[in-house]
Amino acid sequence: MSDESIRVLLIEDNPGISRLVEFKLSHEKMKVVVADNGITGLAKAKELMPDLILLDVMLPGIGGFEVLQAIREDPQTKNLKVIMLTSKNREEDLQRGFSMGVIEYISKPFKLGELMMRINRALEK
Amino acid sequence: MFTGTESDAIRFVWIIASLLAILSLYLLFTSVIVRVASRYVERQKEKRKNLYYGFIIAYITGERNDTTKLEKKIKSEFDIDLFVEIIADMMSQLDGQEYPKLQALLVLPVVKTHFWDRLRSRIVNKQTEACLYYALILDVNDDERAYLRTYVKSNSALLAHSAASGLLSSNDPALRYEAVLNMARKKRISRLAMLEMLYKFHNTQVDQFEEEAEFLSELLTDTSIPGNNIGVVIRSIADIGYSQLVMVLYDFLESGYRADEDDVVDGLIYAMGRFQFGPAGDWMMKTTVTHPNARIRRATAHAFEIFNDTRYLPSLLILAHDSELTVRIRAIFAMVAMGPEGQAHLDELSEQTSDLQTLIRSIRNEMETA
Repeated sequence: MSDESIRVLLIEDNPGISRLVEFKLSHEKMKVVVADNGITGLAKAKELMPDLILLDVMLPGIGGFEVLQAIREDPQTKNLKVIMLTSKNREEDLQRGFSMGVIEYISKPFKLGELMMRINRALEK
Repeated sequence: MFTGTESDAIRFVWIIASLLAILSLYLLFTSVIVRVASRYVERQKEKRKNLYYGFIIAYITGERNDTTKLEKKIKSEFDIDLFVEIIADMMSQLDGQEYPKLQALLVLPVVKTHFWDRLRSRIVNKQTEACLYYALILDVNDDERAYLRTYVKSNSALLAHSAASGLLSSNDPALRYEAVLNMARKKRISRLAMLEMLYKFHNTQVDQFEEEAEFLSELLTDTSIPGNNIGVVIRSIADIGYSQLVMVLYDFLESGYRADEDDVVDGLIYAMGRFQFGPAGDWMMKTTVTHPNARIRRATAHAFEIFNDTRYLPSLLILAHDSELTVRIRAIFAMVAMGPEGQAHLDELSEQTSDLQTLIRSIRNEMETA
């Protein structure tokens, strides 16, 4: 799937990862917007209504799950597709994420190829 | 008492006021300079970061293969530290084919030469930084390794730990063993650091399970290693799953190897439970159920829970009456887990003591909710 009209919001505080993912997705002709914290991420989600959100669990200030909860509680954003990125591979995190409507989960350290595959799969859903 | 004229006094006040004004101006001026300078450094740092991110991303995604230009940009110690910091951070987040590419960038001649110099420095901080760098790369040569092997024996805990990390990145299990052995012999190493060493000792990329198990078996019999560290080694053996060592551990337990060291006994009981090694249960029924240390009795109850065999119920009944609350709780958990037979024993217990009745009820509720 590669289309300029596809918009991805990346909420991630690690500059290396956000730049790398942005680079890869831009090469797939997707439009990427990066937010390095949860509050900006939430605002961008409402403003852009992206086709997909890549959301890191560990964020400064409000964490990934709080951001996800706010997205789900807002009638405007509640149906947005979310993939969660986490450094924890804990079962309870997986359950919590899936119960909150996360469509894919990827644990850090992750393989870039796998992330791309999951992004494409999520966009096809 | 002031004895001069009035004009002298005025002059004196003027001098003091002028000095204060000069001092204030000086402070103001320097603070402005410091602020401007730090902003300049931050801007330079940001510029360098952007430059390095661009190169690194282009390199690991295959857009660029030539590193000559990049090497020319890395000129100072500041540049090298920033470059390595960025790569180390990305390595902690990425796996797959990008990882070895990041490692390849770390061994650019300009970077490697710099850390080789630091490794040979007489300053411990610089040696430590160099050791941490060697923990990130694979291409460590014999000369560099010789330094790491010396530093791992250092009295500086930080240097020794960093050198051990450097050795643990090797694919050679003998070198990794050397790192673990030296750290395990240290009396004041933290439990967490010891655990980290053991998990790094286990190679997750290449199957070296048998060789690793042999080295660990050797480690267990080293009497110069303090009991608390041996306890961590035994627990890690069980958690990582070196099942080929289960008989060795059982022999230790049965023969009373280091039986006066609670950490060792506790570790052995934990391992028996983790490996679900039934024969150890019989030995525990006779010995550790009445051990003077509550921690050992609690570990015994936990092991019985994992064995999940009703023949341990009589021992669990003893433990359910233990003087220590934590042991009683563990024993009740084990009995609840044992199904109807365990539950029947608990019903009897409930009728005997009101204290236990409350405890049993709350544990049952908790397990049902879980």
